[in-house]
Amino acid sequence: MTETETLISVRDLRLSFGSKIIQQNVSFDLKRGSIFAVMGGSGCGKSTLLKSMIGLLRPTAGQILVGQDDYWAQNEKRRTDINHRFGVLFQSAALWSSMTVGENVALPMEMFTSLPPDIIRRLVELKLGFVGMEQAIDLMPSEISGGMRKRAGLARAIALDPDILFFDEPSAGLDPITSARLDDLILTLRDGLGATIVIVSHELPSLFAIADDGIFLDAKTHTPIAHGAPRDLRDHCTIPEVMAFMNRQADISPTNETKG
Amino acid sequence: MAATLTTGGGQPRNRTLILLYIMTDQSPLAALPLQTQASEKPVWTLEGPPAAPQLVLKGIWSVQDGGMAPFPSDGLAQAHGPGVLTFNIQDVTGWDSALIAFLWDVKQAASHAGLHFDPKGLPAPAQRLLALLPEAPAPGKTAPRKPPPLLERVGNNTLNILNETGTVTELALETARGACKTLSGKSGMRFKDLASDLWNAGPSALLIVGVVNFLVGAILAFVGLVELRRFAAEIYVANLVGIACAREISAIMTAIVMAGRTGGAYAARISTMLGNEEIDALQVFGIPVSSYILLPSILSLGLMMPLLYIYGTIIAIFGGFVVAVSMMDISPLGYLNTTFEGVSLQEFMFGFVKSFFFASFIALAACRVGLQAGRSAADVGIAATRAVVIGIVGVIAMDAVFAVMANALGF
Repeated sequence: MTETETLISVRDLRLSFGSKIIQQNVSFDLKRGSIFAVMGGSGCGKSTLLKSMIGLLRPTAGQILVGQDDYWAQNEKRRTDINHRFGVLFQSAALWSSMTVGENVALPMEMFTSLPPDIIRRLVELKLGFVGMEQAIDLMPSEISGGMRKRAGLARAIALDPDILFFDEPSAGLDPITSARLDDLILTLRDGLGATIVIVSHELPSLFAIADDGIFLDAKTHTPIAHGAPRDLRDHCTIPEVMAFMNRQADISPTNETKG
Repeated sequence: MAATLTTGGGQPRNRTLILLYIMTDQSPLAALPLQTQASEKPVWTLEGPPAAPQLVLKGIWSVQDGGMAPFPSDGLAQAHGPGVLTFNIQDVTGWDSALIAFLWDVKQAASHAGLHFDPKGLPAPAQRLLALLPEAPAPGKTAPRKPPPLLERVGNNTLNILNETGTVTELALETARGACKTLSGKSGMRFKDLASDLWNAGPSALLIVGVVNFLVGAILAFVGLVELRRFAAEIYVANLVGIACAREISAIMTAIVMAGRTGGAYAARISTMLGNEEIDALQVFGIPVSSYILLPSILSLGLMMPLLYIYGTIIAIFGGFVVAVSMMDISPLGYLNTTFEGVSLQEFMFGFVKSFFFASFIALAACRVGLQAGRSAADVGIAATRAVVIGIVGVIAMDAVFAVMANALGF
C-alpha cells in the first residue's frame, strides 16, 4: 500500500482574539483514515483551533490546506463547498431545537442533495440506525437525554457522508459506559464510512483507546509542545507538562513511570 | 486478504483483529468511497437457484450521485427458505451509505423470505455498519393524537385559567411583599440590578416613546382639524388632542411600546436563564426568584412607565400643536392657552394611575410567561411572543375596565 495521503495540512497557524494570542506556530498533517487528537488543558485553545479548521474563526496568520486549496484564501461559496466534506459534532450536540431528531438529520440532505423525500427518510433512518437512535426519529431534542442528543448530533454529522469528522468533546457529560460505547461507535463509523476524524478532548481513556495521532497544545507558551499518538506520548514523552496531563497528576514528578 | 480476515460471518469475534488490520493498512474498499469519477448506474441482479440465491451488485452506489437503487420488498419472492443469500460485489466500483441502505432493505426482505443473510461477500466496513443497524426500521410516523372532546377541553381550559390566575396572584403578592421588605431594607434585591433595569425601562425608551406619541398627537390633530373646520371650531383641536392623549391614548401607546420593548425582553431573558439552569441554581441556594429577578423588573417598569406616560403626553400635545399651528391660522399662544384650560389635572392623574397598573401587569405577565417557558431556543421565541401578545391585549382590556369604572365613579 502507498503512504497514506494528507487530507488537511496546517501550516504555522496563529489564532488570536484581538491582541491576545491563543496559539501560534501550530503545524500538523492530518492523514487519511487517522484519528487525530487535539489535546491540552482547559483554556489552551483546543476548541478555537477546531473552529478555525471548520470555518468559524479566521486565523490571524498561517494556512490550512485542505487537499490543494488554502482554505481561508477561498471565497465563502468555495469554503462552504469544502465544508460539505466535513461533519461536525458540537460539544452540546447543537441540535436545532425547533425540529425533530429526524428533521435535524434530514435538513442537510434536503438542502444539499436532490434526493426525493422518501429516500431521504430512508437515509435518515439509516443514519439514526447507525447510532442506535432509530426509535427517536420523531422526538424533539428536548424530549431526549444528553447521551441521546450526542448520538443524534453524530447522526447529523454523518448525514452527508463526510470525509472528515470533527468532534468537540464527544464524551463530555457522558457516563463511562456511554462514553466507551461512543468510542466504539466512532471507530466503527470511521472504518465503515472511510472517514478521518479530528477529536478535541481531554477524556484520557477514550483518547488512549481510539486516537492514533495528535498534537498537544500548551496554555502557558501558547504553542504546541508535543506531536504524536496519545498512547506514545503517555509512554515515551519526557516533557513535564505532557507527562502530568497524560498521567493525571497535579504535581509534576518526572520519576513516575507508567504502565505500558 | 479481506475475506480470510473476516470469515466471522457477521459475528463480532474477530473484531479486534479486523480493527488492527484496518488501522494499520487501509482496506482498498474503504478508500473507494467518494472517489467516483465515471457515473456508473448502480445495478443489482439476483442469480443462482431459489434455495441459494446470490445478489450481484455493480456500479457506483453513492448518495451524492443519486445511486439509490430501491430494493422492492418482494424482491426475493421467487427465492424461498431455508437457504442462504450470498453476495457478489466484485463490480462495485464505489459505495457509501447508499449501499448500506440498500443492503438493509435486502436484509429485511431476506428475513421475510426465510433466507439466511450471509454478509461474507460484502466489504468488511459495510459488514460492521450493517451490524450496527437494528433488524427493522422504526415504525412509521405515529398517527396524530385525536383532540379530546369539547367538554374535556372546556374543563381543562377552565382549570388552567383558574390555576394560572392563582399562580400570577401568588407571584404578585410575593413581589409586593418583597417590595415592602425593600422599604425596610431587608429584601434580597441587588440594587445594581434595579439600576440597570431602571435604565433599560426608562431613559433608553425615551426616543421610541417620544416618536410614537408625537406622531399620534399629530394624527389626532390632523383628523380633528378636518372635521372641526366644518363647524369653524378649529380651536377645540387643542382640547381634543389634550384630553384624548392625557386620558387614554398616551397611556395606551406607551404601554404597548413598553410591552413590546421591555416585556418581550424580560420574557426572553428569564426563559434563557431557565434554559441555562440559572433559575435552578437560584432555587438551590434558596434565593427567592421573586426578589432576585421579578422585583427589580416589575419595580423598574412600575416606576418608569408613569413617568414615560407624562413625557409621552407632553410630546403628543406638542405633536398636535405643531400640526395645528402649521396648518391653521391658530395662534401658538391661543392653542397652548386652550390646552391648559381644557385639560384638567384630573385627566393626568387618571392616566398616571392607569400607567402604573399597566406597567405592573406587563412586567408580571412577562415574568410569568418567562418562568413557565420550555428550555430550548424555540421556547424562548415562543415566550417572547406570548409575553408581548398578552401584554398588549391585557393593557387594552384593562383600559376598557378603567373606562367603565371611571364612568361609574363620575371622573
